[in-house]
Amino acid sequence: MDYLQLLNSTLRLAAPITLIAMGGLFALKVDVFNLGLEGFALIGCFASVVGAYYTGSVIGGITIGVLATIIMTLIYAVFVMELKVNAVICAVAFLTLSSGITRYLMLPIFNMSGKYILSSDLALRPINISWLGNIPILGPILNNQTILVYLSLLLPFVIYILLYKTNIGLSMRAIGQSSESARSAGINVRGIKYFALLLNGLFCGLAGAQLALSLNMFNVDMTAGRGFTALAALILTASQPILTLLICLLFGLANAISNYLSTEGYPSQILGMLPYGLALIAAILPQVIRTISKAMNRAKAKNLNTNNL
Amino acid sequence: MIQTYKAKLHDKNQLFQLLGPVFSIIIAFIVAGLVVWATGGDPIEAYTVLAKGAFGSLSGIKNTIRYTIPIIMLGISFAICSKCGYFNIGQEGQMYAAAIAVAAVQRIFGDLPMVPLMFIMIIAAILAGGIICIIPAIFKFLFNVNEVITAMLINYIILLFTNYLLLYSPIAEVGKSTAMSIRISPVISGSLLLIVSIIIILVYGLIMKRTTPGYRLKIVGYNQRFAKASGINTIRLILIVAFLGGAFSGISVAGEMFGVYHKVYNGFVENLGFYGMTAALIGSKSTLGLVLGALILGSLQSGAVTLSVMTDVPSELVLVVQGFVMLFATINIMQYFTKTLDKKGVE
Amino acid sequence: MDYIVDMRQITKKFGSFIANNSIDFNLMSGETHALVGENGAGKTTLMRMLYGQYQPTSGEIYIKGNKESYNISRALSLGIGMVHQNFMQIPDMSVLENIILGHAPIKNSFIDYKAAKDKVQRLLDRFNMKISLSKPIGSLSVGERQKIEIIKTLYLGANILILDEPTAVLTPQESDELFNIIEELKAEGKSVIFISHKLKEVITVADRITVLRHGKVSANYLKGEVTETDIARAMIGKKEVALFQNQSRGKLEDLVCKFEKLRFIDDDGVPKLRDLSFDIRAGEILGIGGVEGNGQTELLNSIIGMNYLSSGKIILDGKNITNLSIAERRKLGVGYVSEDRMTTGLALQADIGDNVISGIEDDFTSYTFLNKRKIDEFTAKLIEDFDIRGIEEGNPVSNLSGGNMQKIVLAREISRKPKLLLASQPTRGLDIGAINFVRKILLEEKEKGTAILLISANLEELMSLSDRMIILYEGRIAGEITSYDIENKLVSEADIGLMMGGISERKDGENDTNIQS
Repeated sequence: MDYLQLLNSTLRLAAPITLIAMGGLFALKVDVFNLGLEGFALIGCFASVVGAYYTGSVIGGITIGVLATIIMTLIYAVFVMELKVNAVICAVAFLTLSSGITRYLMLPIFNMSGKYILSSDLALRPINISWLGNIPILGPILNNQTILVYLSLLLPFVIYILLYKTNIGLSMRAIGQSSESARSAGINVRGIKYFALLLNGLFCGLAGAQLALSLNMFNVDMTAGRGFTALAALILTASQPILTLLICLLFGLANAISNYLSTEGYPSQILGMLPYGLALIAAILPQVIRTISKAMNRAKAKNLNTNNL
Repeated sequence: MIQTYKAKLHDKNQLFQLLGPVFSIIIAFIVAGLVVWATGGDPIEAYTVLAKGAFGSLSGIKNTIRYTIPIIMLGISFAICSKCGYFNIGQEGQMYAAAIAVAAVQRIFGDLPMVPLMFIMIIAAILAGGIICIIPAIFKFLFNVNEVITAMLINYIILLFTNYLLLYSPIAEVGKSTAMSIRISPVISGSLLLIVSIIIILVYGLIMKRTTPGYRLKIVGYNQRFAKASGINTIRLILIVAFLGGAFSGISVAGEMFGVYHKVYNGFVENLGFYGMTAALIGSKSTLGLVLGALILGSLQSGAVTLSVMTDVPSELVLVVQGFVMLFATINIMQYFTKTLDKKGVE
Repeated sequence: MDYIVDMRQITKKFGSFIANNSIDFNLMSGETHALVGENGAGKTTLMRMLYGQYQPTSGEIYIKGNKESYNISRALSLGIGMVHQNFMQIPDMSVLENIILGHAPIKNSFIDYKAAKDKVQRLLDRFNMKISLSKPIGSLSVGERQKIEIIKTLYLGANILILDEPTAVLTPQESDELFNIIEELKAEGKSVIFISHKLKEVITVADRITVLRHGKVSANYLKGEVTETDIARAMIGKKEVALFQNQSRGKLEDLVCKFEKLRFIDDDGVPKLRDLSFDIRAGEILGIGGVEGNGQTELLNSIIGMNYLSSGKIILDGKNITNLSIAERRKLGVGYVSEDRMTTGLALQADIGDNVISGIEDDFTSYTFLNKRKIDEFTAKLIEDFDIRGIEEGNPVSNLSGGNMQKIVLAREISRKPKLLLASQPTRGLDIGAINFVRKILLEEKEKGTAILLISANLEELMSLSDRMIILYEGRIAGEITSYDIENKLVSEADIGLMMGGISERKDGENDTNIQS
């Protein structure tokens, strides 16, 4: 088995999840629990294929994909922040809407339903950087990836710097914990929240573009739960950008392994359960650990002598 | 009892409560119609065809009712769970789990006579659905994990598992590639199901409004902390309700399988997944609303097939309408029409 | 007259509710101006408009002679700073981050932490505050956190400081420190407005006093020309309301409840109750005093059963209730008036009937159906007995006033004839009429023989109502004041203040800083 090839696939498969997670991270940081990431990424997939189809270029596809996702996310933002609807229900509504509209529009636009394959010259191609490829071990892993994959690897670090070293990052984090305190410091809470959701839309759109255009096709519901996997990663790492990247890479690895094993003849369905199972554990684990450690803290202090309290 | 229902229908307050959701539905249809128009279709024609397909013939009406009933069941399931603060998003997974359970019963007990067989199947469906539904609830209320994420991930896992079973497991029928069929006479069970469903709907409304368990559920839904401080055992109540919610999902599937499909196949609960939630949203303030909402969604499903046959509007329009209905139903329109005393800022 | 702040004919409406009605309020440079009034009089609303958080419905605001209409950001640039009653702080962030939030010095688009630290440290040094900048602000004491709130306003360059109920959470000693800081600020040329309802402080500290009542200005006074009684009268109107007092202290009846070595450790491993032991007798009001956060909440929660003790015993009427459920404790006679009627005391969206039967709904049940008529009868009787106003059939209780909401809570608990009634901050947020009603009810219950555990941050209330008092500090008893002491005024507020701060003085005059329970 070609381990290097496996790890190369890992980066490719992790990229959409990472990008979605980065988008969701901004929403979480300003205390908007955006459960609809799945739906927005799906819009990104569809819109980027439609965009490539009509503009005849990959860049056009990516641009349209991002724009459409940003618009949808901002509409969601208006619903949740101005109309004050229940964020969870609204997210699920956007989920069904995304799935429904993308399915529906396939017929009028592509004259096909279920799946549409773009011409291959519109695919998002991997880039071959020769000097990169010559580095031992890391080279073949890092080389031959699309530009969006490279973005997904660098973005978490940029976001980390933004959040912890700039004024706007500080404001965002403050809003997330106590928007009242932020407001009384003169921060434009509403403006920053919208900006965060705009970034959310931007990255989900890029995720969709990466997913759809690198395969140069659109398949109904092709995001297949990546939005929730990304959320699980964010929960596990408490929205820490770099740790989230690591967890998403782990999910990518699980994907890659299950793909490989299924080509070796193992049942793909059971293998397919692996990434989701992992995500489930990621979502549950931190809380379970927290509960157990609280109980242990309490038990320890219970046995102290009165004077040591 | 009929008296109270007649009185409720005439209750102005009730009708007023329905205005908001009805408004949302109308807007949803309009917006969806705009989408049709923008992609070159004729929305009026599309809606007319849908309505005719759903109500225009006897078989159409039967079809509509047949789709409506499980949606009502799912709606009740979602409604009681959300009263406790538990968003029951995992209905699709619960339904598949229940379906597998029913098929497994067929496999194991297939030689029994029909009535006890049906009985065991219903129990199996209830247990399977209930267990799947209670898992996210346990993690939410004991460990504070968001239930939408856990339920959605469980959905995906169960979906894959079902596909696997259909292809490889001994439960699948030899020779029939993607089916597990069950041996229940459709006519008897179908009408039985209709009657049982109507009873369940009436009983549900009654329990919520007039009985003590319904009261306790109401209080927990309003303010969990208050309920706890009053002495109500909130965790136990919530988990029981979560199990019940899953049980309802299971029953709806059992009904589908008895009355209609006689088998499990890939994707047979495909669209029902969030229909229950939509119906519950429409009926958030009144049980009547829930039934009406289910009826509208059921008619959409039933008319959908004729849509793609008779027009060039794809039948997926139904999904688009559902999505918009859900979206607009989240807005409480009536809040802008009723005066509320805004005491914000008083120290 | 050159006012640095001049608010003219300010009116603020929320829907149909008039919070401020044609108020004139001004501030001279370098003065300390107190804004006084009951709960709900409109003080915070007025100041929030000065701070830019709200906009006036009508009226004008002049700052340094210029007419302004502005938001918080502009207010900050005009030199207006506000220290809110609830600290506007992010507990998990460091002290430094909290101070520079939104206004950090920038170098090359990144935050210049060094410059920030220097600037803040200079401010801290000027006021002689020894607070570490890198610790999370949630770990500081309440007094320290408030000092940081003030530093925050100075960091942003405030000349006009608004302090909203600054001494509400401080011990008497910490309050003195605060007033020293205010003096220093005045010496630097800053002007201070402070909102308070503690008349003694207002008389001592303020140069001018404005009294608000029901949203209108009721009186204006200069320093030295007014007494507490005058102000009180201006606050509540011509009729002076005599507050009910405990007239029969110290009768020794049977033991109702014994609390043995109560120990409670919270989720972070911090002990909140440190082997607390005391008891309470029938017909006795036991006052629990102390600065909020010293174990009062945990004590109450463990007695009613919302939390379970880590160790220790609670024995009610001879029965060990330590591990019983809330429902079982209530059945044995524990009543609970929580400190927050809106989140724990009531279900705001439910109507009064639903609220009062909660917990005893089985008594109104026949064959699992609720007996509506029985519920309505029960509710009607409570409305009459407790004079609850504003009830409309089927309406949610959220529409009622604070006083009426509290009456519902009391009605519910007292109608169950508790043996031990827990009451936490029962008069918080109420107007004078409602406060007196609550006091009357509690004293009536005392006469009936109910044991009452009264937790309050209001020292005057504790001293007026309690038979005897216990002061909590960090989960231990810092001092006990017997009924004899109260009756004969042997213990002063200053003494109690020391106990609240963790220093207890033994009767023989020795200072005892080693607290034992």
